[in-house]
Amino acid sequence: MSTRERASRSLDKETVELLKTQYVLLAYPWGYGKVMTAGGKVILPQLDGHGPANGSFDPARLRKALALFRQLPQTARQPRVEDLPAEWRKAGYPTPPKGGLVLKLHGRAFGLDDGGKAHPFAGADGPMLDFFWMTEAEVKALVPPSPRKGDSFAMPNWFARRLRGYRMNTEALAGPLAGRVLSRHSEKTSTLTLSVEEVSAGEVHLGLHGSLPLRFAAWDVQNRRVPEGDYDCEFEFLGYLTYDRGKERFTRFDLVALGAVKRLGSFKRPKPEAGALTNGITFELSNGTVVESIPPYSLRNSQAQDYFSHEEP
Amino acid sequence: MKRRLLSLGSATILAGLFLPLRAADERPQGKARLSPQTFKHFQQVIRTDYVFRWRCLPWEINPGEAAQKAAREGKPILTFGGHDGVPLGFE
Repeated sequence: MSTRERASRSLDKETVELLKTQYVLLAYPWGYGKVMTAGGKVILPQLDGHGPANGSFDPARLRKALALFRQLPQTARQPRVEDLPAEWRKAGYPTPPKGGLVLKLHGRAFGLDDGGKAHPFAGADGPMLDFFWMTEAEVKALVPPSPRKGDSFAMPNWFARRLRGYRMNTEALAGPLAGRVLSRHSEKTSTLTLSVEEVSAGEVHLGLHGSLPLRFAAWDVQNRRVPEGDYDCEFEFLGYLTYDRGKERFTRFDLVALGAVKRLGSFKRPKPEAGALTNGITFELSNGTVVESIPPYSLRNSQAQDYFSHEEP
Repeated sequence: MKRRLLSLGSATILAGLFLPLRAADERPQGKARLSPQTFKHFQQVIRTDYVFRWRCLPWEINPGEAAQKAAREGKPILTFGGHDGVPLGFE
């Protein structure tokens, strides 16, 4: 069980109630388990540890923080609006593009046997979650203006470009062997294709299929024999999209991508318990809630113009 | 000799017939292959966020708004997220 799974399972009903009623919960990268006042005074420091540190939801720790909080004067517990940290107002995440689309992505590495059964891969750090943003223009470009059943066209290149930047491609596989996706595969190109499967007055049903080859370079690999990269993962895609013509938005965007990891040269990585090492990603529409408006990791760690760029490197 | 040539020829024909198949076989087959029949199965294998109970909590994602809420309600703020991201987004 990964660290984050352990932390999640430590959340019982009573603790959930305590968190809901006694705390304001801030999902922001200021540390795990840090407790502070609205004015910024730290009551308990953040926990040490990589990832969602165990103890973030430890009921004894949460109660201790509450007891310390209640000992503070009223002015510290309920500061005036003008006394709140001004810099906090400037903090915050970018918001999803207006009229665009937010997809929720899950990623996981596992062993896949010939019968389709998944087996654990101890080298990975558990399931991953991220988001994929599209602008309004990008969304509209996916739907032909006069769709006819049987029409097909290439998925725009920006889709592959954007996905190559996703940390889940590497982190799901990584464990102790982190890597990066090369900006271009030296031998293969994407064959992702959208096909019009059904058209009615109200809806357009599209299918997505094809492959997206990614080449990875691992960090700190000794004795490399393949200077261009260390392993390949050619994702096979299959997907079902429904576009509501009246509302001018997608009502379904379900994709699955499966990629068998192929070693190049002398690069070695841990093996799953059984089957071939496989990286899987699912895509689906986000539910529009606050927590699903958190930007994609690769957007938060780069400039928006780079994330949304269509220029091939 | 003639027999040997014949068998070499047969081998070449057989190789010609089967090589493309072998190349295609590099990808997973049957239930291990992504197809309309296995689509839901692989969705379930990969989507595992149901174990993350913290996703059901009423999170704020903007520090300024969290501070205003905490001041209004007289509550402390608990932060959740580190240098590796926020587990409600990137995990």
